[in-house]
Amino acid sequence: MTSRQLPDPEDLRTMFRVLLELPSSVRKRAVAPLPTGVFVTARYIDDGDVLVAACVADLELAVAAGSALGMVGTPMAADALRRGEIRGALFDHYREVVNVVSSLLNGPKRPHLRLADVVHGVPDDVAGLAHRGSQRQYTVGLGPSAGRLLALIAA
Amino acid sequence: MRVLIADDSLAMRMIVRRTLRQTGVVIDDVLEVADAAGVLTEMIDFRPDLILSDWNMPGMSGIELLELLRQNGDTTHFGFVTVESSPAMRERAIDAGAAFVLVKPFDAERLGEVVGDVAADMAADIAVLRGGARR
Repeated sequence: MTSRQLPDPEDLRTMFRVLLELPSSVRKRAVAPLPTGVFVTARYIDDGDVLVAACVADLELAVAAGSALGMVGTPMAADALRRGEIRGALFDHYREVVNVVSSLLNGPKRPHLRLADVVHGVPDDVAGLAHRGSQRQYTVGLGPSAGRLLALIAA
Repeated sequence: MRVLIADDSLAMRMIVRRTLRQTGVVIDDVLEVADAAGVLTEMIDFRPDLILSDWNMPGMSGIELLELLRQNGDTTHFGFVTVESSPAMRERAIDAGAAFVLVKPFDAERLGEVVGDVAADMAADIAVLRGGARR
């Protein structure tokens, strides 16, 4: 059994392209404190229900990904950005996107994990992951939209 | 072929339905349900030839659903469309009677391969039945 690994940018790009059927780009960026803004966090747990990984997306990325998966019109996406909150069908669509991300965090020889929940903000337990594991930040382009993604994984 | 799609994500059900259309496999009818309970209802009402099910769903999981169906003697073709990809889970699925485990995300080519295999199995079963009837 090998240790957990953060997603490779190319694997992430392929996942977004195939899942969302959009031209996609994913680039690693220097790890830096998250700027002020609205973030949406997906938490992943192991088979003992322990938090072992998280993906923190800025609202722009969450809305773009959820909109693309659900083929949601621009007004709903614009409304979410204006409100500073992703909810309803758009939230459900984004939840499925980060559910699919778990296929990149799992692997044949890695300890199993699964999506537990998706919440607004960055909970304290997720911030704690940064201290007991590793993290990687990405700039993600989805069609005309772009956003920031932070992946954290327990050691 | 009548296909029943079970996934708690509306968007994923739409994607599976849309991608099925792109495979080239002849699909007569498609129905969507959001959970295992919906599948159990539609086993009587819709009578699918193939169930495409997520693994993780609220309530009964996809693998529990498959095991329940097989325990009750139901042999409907069953395939997983899931994020679960570990060898242990794949082995459990196949041991329980799944025809395949397709990992999300997937494209029309990959879906067409696994659904096409099921269509070929169905055609072979029909040929055997017809042969038996002639004898």
